[in-house]
Amino acid sequence: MPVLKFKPGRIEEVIGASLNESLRIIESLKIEVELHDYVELEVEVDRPDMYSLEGIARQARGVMGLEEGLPSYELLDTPYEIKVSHVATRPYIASAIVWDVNVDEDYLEELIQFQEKLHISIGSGRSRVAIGLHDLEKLPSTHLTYAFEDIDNVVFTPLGYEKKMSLREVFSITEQGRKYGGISRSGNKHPVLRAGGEVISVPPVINAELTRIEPGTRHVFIDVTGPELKPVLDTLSILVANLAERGKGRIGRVTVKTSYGIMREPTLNHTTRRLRLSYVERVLGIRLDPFTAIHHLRRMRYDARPLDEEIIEVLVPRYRIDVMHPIDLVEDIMLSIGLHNLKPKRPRRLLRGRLKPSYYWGREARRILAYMGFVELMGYTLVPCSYIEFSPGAQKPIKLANPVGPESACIRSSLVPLLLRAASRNQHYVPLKVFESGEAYVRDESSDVKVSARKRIAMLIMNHRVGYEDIQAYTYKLLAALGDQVVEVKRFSHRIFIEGRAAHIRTQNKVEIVLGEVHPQVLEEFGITYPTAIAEIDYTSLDTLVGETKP
Amino acid sequence: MNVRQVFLSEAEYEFLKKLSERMVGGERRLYSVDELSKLTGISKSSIESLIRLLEEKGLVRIVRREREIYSLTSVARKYMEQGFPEERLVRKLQESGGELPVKSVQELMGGEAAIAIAHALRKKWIRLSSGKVELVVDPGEALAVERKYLEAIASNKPQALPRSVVEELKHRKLLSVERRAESLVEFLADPREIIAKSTVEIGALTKDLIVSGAWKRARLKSYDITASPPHIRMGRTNFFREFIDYIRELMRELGFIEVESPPIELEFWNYDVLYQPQFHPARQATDTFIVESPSRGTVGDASIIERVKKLHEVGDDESTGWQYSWSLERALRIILRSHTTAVSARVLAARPTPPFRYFTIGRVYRVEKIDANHLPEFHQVDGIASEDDVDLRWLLGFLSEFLERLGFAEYKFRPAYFPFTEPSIEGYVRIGGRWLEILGAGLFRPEVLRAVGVDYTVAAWGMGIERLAMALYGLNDIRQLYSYNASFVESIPIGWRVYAGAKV
Repeated sequence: MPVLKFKPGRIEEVIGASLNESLRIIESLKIEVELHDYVELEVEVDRPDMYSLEGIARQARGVMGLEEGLPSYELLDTPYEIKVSHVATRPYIASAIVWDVNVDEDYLEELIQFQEKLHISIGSGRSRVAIGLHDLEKLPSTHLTYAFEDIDNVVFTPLGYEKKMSLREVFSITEQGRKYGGISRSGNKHPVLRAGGEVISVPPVINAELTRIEPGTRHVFIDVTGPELKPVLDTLSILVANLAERGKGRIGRVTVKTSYGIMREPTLNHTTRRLRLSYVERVLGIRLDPFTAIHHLRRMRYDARPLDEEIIEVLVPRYRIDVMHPIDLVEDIMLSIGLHNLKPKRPRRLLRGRLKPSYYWGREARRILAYMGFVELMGYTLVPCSYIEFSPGAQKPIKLANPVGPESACIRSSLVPLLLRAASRNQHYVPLKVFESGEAYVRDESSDVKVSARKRIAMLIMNHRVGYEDIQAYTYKLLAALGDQVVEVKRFSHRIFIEGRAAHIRTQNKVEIVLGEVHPQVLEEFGITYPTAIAEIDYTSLDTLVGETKP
Repeated sequence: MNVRQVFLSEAEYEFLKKLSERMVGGERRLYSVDELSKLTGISKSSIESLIRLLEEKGLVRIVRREREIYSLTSVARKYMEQGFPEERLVRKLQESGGELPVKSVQELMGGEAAIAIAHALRKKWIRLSSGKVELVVDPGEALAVERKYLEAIASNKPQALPRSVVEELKHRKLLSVERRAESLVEFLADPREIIAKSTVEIGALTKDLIVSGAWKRARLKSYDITASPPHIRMGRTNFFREFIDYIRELMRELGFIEVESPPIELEFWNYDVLYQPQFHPARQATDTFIVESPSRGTVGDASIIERVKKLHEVGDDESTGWQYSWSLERALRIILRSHTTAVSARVLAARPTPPFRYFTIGRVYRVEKIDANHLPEFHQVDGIASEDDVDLRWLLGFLSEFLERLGFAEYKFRPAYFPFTEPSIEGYVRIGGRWLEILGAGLFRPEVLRAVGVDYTVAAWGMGIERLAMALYGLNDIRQLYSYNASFVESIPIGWRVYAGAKV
């Protein structure tokens, strides 16, 4: 979630209330507040319109009753226009002007923060949306072009640098170039925004020094680009509405000329929605009369009027891109009422809970093993891919594309290698008797996820003298205690076991067991210096056996 | 000392018995540890602890003293071989008929002449008169008395040399002296007498003692009951696993039915059905584990695919949708689930008939580097419910009930955001003076309900288990929950108070 930092004095200034009062209101808007020598506000990702202090204030002043209903901004046409030629990787651009923003040092920091948070969230790290902010008065011309240009023919001084360089150099020399240079580049082509022939931005990488915004900048020229139109227009709307809150509310439209038509943005058209009070009641559990509902909606900065006793018509401002469904209006009514003002209602219905049959088998098996002196360990399911070699009954590993490291690059297909790892880590704790229970995952083409989960319990014994008959004894004792018995014993061959000292066992309850004495070669590979024997029990069959039904 | 009834341990008895059998004479009562070890064949370290125990019982006294160890100098060894200078002088005089001029003695004996004359004079073997040395003793009796002492020292026989002799030998540089500390044991009573009056105390009672009746003649020794016991091992179930099962049982008690699904999941169930758009940052490889092999799964029901696609791309009569181009290919990608709500999505797609309460508990995965607070895998419990009066107030009531049953006296809820629920809330509990965020909840968004094809309200909630277990078990490193150190796992006290419902 985006965390925003502000100076406490700025909060008082923009909200127009004491710091304590301001923070109390802000917290009610599902924003987490932390107070240091600055204020940290954690805004939820559905509300990018509150990624700047002016946006938060617009909402907070509504809840405080200082400003209600839709905010109004003045939209003016301007002579600024952008000619767009086909930019294959990033075809959409929209632009606007906000007058009288009057940037000072504090606001410059906040503006950069606002831009960055939008880049990260709605912009998906600039790939979906990139924002350029310029000092309007530094723009060389009202005529701009947005084109796909050859990176060697684009020469300019990037923002924060002193020398002119080619775009190819920008990619290698500047930090932004290295980080974002690959997003919209295609071969030697890259999107370039020029004004009067001079480069002002190479979206989504960097702006030119030419139009730098600094303390003293009065009016702001905004460009927003991306591969899809909707997020571009959404972002532009949020930007202009929030910047206009700081200015005098005057916003200028910029004409964008493309091969498929002419666009004049932003429009800031609000949308009309209908909200049923019975729906509000169904969600919140309280019945509101139309006027109370309208009161709450207006505090949340909507306009609303009753159509009848049941239906309210709501005008949703353009910057509220999170409002997709009437449910989102219900949430805002809840925020205005305050969650703490909703009285909890305890469940009264009596329903019968049920756990998996295999849970009870597993629970008893674990207890019996503990009675027999085994310590239960609980480990990770993410393991090295090499563990597949030590996983009886599994051939192909289930492998991650983006593991955090080689130690956790596959998901386990058996508990056996994990217990061998446990044995190697407990060489000082002899005799060792440990077990682990949990799921192991094996390939299964018949499953929709191509994998099926197996319920397993594996146990390991390690001592100066330990062998097949020891692990066999524990296994048979366990089965007997669970009221099960062996119906078939077959020789089992696998590289982890000594040949002729391993078995595959099937029981009356269709429990499958592999057990044996671990091969010294394997002991050596795991750094185990004592004889070791292992059994792995698969009891997945128990759920179907007891006749478990799916919901 | 008059010996009364004494109690001896088996080891003490054994020691005294051996000693009394092997000691010579009955008079000597002073022994060094060395001697006792040689006499009894018991190791010196055992003897040392035995005599300390006997001293506590007032049977011996340990005397610490310094002993002088003598050894011969090279001069002494030369004299022993070649004769003392005064002896050789006597022989020379004898050979020369009883007298020699001093000058001749000097010529014959060189540097030793003066020493020989001085000692022979002192022993009154010769007389000096007008430049001549005269023999005045029977040569057969002129034997240096020092030789006797030196021989005794050389043969390492214990000797009590008179102080004057030691001084004399040292003065003649025939003896080197070294001081050594030693313990001497003084028996305050005759060991034989002690044994006669003793009763043996028994430590471990054995089958032999019981069967033979020997226990009747023995006394069962009192132990130091405050001493630490020896270390023993035990088998036990895992404390963290027990905690997870505790949550599971709690869910059953609240009327929930358990459901399961593998954590290897399709993006479709983990994200798309839950109305989380494909461009959402959490769906990127920096947050979600993507399975490379196998890589693509299937969704059997074509109609749910159709509904999900439409909801994401254009919405429906009520929702605007996310308005982007939705990819089925992407939705069929296999991942490791990032939350157990994926299981709830599958359950809802089976369109259960209300009233119902289902829950699942299992592992979830997020791309995180391992440290004290993060693991790439952890556990969640996820529940869904639908019944006649399910709404936000019901959800608040249910969560209050759940948290109170977990033992939390202080808890609170705050509005929050999740892509698949609206309204959404977060639950916090107070543990150890700090507010800990432990659960997320809400009512499923209408888009989610439309996607799975149900028309009733469904409440949902999910809770991470590790942080709660750490707080309740007082652990400060999440990795301790997954420890493979058998002795550590064995040593953690079980949290029975939590299970008993004690207030947290």
